[in-house]
Amino acid sequence: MIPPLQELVTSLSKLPGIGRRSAERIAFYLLAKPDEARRLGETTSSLQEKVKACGRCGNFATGELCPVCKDNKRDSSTVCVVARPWEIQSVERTGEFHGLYHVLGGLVSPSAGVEPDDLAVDHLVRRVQEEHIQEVLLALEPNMEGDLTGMHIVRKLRPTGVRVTQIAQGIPAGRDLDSADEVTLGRALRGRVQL
Amino acid sequence: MATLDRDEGVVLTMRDYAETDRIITLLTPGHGKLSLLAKAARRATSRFGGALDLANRLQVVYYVRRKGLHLLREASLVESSPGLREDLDRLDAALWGLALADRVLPAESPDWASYARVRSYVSSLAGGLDPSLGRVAFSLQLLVAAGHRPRLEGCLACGKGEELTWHPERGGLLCRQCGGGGADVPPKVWKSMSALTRFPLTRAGRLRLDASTLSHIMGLVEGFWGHQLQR
Repeated sequence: MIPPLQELVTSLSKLPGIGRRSAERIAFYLLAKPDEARRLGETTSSLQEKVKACGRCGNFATGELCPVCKDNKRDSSTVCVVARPWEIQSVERTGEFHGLYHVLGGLVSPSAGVEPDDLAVDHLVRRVQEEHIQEVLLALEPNMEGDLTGMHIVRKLRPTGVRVTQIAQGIPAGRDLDSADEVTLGRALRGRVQL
Repeated sequence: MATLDRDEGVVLTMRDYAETDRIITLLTPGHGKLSLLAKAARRATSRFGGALDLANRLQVVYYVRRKGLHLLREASLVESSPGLREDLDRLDAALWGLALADRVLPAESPDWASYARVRSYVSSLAGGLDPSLGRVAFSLQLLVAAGHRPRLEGCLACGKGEELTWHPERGGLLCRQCGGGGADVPPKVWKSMSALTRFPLTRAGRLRLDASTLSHIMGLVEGFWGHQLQR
């Protein structure tokens, strides 16, 4: 393979979900479609300049605020806390949450050297105080690092008196109960609700 | 062709890999510290379920590969530590200890002593061990298990118990007459360190040590670890 194509295949195969064969197919496709190749090049090269972090919540934004923070119809008394900005899309797709968001920037992780001060926890506390938030909903990974991060947040928020909740954890919808492992089922049992 | 092997172990670290995989580091009694690739572990329908989490004790079956990471085939939960989730400081101390063990223990070197200490540390914290005392005791005991026991029974040159100073490069305490320098290590500090290396965590947890003594010991132990890791 000639060097320019080889270079493109190497770059493409570093992308998630794209193996060497797929990278070759995409490279040949782009070679045959110069307009699409140009458009793709322009959009990817300007991505870093155009996409910024929302100054209020940390979501992806093109200006000072993200579309969620700019939307006056959102319930500004409730904030959903996520570790990373792309997780907002998962919550939005449910159509069940109508409040605002807060992106932490990761999870507390002693093995990765991430301390609570490395995350936007103090910023969350300031938002709770300044924006008169009534409920903070934690949507963090259901594992030890997610729990540790959540516990740090609860401790920091305790003086504000704000209500802190977390998303339910347990059996995925559509899955058999007898196929669930004891950790998942245990979490589901601990988080049971009254009917 | 890859062969199958099995062991049990405590999960020390987990990190995301590729789109849906995870790499877990497991401390096992029979194979030491193992890095295993858990394919599709981040999918909601993962066959590993919730078993792959820090501090969990697992029974694992994996493909041994000569090149690259071993491949995790099965993981079943032997023991979890729900008690850790009841207290932030204990959970924090547990994850800190697991990260320390991951950093200081060599890969694939069978080590029953370190494995036993890691298990004891996690279960003691889950059972209510004071996290500050636990951190200090565990880091000292891990030194011992890793074969770096500091000399804490007086001056390592003459055996005297007065005017002792800390010398990680020499392996412990040295008195001023034998060339020791720097700040004195008070008797309460070095005697407590000595006790913490000898007592099992269940007994060490009953020692009454104030915050400043614990902080002093931790500083000395961190210096000692730093020196051992540089070597």
